[in-house]
Amino acid sequence: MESSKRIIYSRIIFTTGIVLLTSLSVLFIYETYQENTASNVVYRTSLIRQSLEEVFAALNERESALRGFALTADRAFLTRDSLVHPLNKQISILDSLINDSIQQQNLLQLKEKLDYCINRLNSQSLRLKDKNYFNSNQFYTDLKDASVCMDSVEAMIRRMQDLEENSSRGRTLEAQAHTVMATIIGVAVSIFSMIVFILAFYFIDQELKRSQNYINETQTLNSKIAEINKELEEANRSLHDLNSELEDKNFQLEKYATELSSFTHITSHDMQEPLRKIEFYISIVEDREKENLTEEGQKFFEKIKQSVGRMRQLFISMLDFSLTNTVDNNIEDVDLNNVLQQTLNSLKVYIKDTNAIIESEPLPQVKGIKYQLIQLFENIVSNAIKFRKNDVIPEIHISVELVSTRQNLRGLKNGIKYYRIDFRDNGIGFEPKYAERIFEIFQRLIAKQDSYGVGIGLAICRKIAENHGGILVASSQPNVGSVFSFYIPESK
Amino acid sequence: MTKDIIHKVILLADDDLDDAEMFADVLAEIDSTVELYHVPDGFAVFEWLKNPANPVPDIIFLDINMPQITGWQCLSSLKADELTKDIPVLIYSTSSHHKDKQTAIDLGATAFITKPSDYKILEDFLTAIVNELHNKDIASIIRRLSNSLHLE
Repeated sequence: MESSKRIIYSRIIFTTGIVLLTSLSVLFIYETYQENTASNVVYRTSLIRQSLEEVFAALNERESALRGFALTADRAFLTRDSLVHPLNKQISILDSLINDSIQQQNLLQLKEKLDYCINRLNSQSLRLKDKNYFNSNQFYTDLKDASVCMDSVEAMIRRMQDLEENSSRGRTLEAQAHTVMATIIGVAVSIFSMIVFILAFYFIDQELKRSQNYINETQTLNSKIAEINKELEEANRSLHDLNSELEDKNFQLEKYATELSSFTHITSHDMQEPLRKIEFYISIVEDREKENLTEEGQKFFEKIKQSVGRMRQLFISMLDFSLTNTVDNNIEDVDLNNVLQQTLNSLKVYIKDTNAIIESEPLPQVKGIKYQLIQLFENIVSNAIKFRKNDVIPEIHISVELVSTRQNLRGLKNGIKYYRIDFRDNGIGFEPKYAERIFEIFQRLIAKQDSYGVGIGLAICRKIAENHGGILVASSQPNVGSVFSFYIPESK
Repeated sequence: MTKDIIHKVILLADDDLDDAEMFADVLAEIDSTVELYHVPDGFAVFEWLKNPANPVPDIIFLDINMPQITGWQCLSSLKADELTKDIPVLIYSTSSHHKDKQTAIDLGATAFITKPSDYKILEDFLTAIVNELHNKDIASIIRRLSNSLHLE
């Protein structure tokens, strides 16, 4: 049972119980009261009867006294107390006791009769003084009169008494009935109270048990929660630890990156100073003093010059690499067709010398750093020409495709569209197993005669690709050709 | 002023003695009548210019990496001063970064030259410059020169 329903039921039961108990109590009081009233009436009735008896007795006594005198002529009988006073007393008692209207009428009649009788008796008693009274007819008339009076009064009294007796009987039965009722009600109250008490107890007991269950459940849950909390805290702590580790590593990484960047920049920049001077003095010596050297000296001089030249290239590449960043460069809308144009322009001489053919599909517009994109194109195209087959005219085809990254190539984000720009050449290619190595700094797979490269070009190209949010990958079939694929995010 | 009108004057500001020596050497080879004055830093440039005994240079070669004040600051001050803003200033630096070239133009330099690593290139350049030192159009001449000689 739902707890809200339980509450409603319990309230209904409680209210009903109170109402019932109150009603029963009221009934009990009522019955008791009625019984009391009835008993009072019965008591009063007995008092009335008693009074009536007294009246009759008094009257009778007077009459007897008169009779006694009449019989004995003894004056002693006449000296009894007056009749009137006790009679009046009883009449007034009766007056106060009687409220029944019939009975009151009876009482009135009684009083009349009594008055009449007393008058008679009084006039009789006067006549008693006469000696000749007892022989006269008056005496017999008086006797008969007196008898009739007495009978009439007696009759009245009897009538009244009967009435009272009936009433008394009725009332007594009534009182008994009320007593029985009261007793029944009392018992009912007790039983009902006991039932309510038992129900209440049962109910409370159930509730207490339920409460106890809930408390137990709560405790169990609480201890489970405490356990889980502890686990969470532990997990938190390890997470926190890992976090600090990560932060430390991050900080270190940043430091290394900055150090490396400054190192590269500083060394390549600062070291160009003495390098430039070396070159300069070499050129002066070559111009003015070379002929003063011996043949061997001149050979050595040439070696110095070549090595210095190589060093120069290395420094330029290193400088380029360190400067290829996005931090202080503006990102703008760049038309790749334009970039290709500038590339072809810069490589004009090389292209002409090698008869290279470069074709391209229309290229898209992207967001990026123009000079870096030019550098990328230049590098890839010049590489393609450089690594041409000996007796084949180098051909480079540039194509574009808009792709979404399902291939999960490393470095690309899912859910973004990229342009894949393929630079396909018919050069000597490379072993597929070197596909990643060629992008490492200073890695060169072959030394070429006309190679000006120091092996850093592709590393820079890849860095540029990453700067632009994309990647650069390569694939190849040896002796067939290579494809360099440059992925750059679509610009909306 | 006791300055001989025929004499050409070049002021070179560079803290590197070797570079200054090379410059003087090559210049002497080309035309020994050109007066070359060398100061070691930016402050010295102003001191030299303020001195009334010194002739007004026809051109100033200004290095960037100098002690105390940089070549950039020196350039800005030169172009801000009424007396000096019309003197052509050539930024003459070891850097080859195109951003520095842009900064030079923005600050009012006539051109930005990377110090050449070949003696002959320097020779050709200075020869051409010296010939045009009194030409009013020297600014555009220098620019054309620096382009063609790949000195930028």
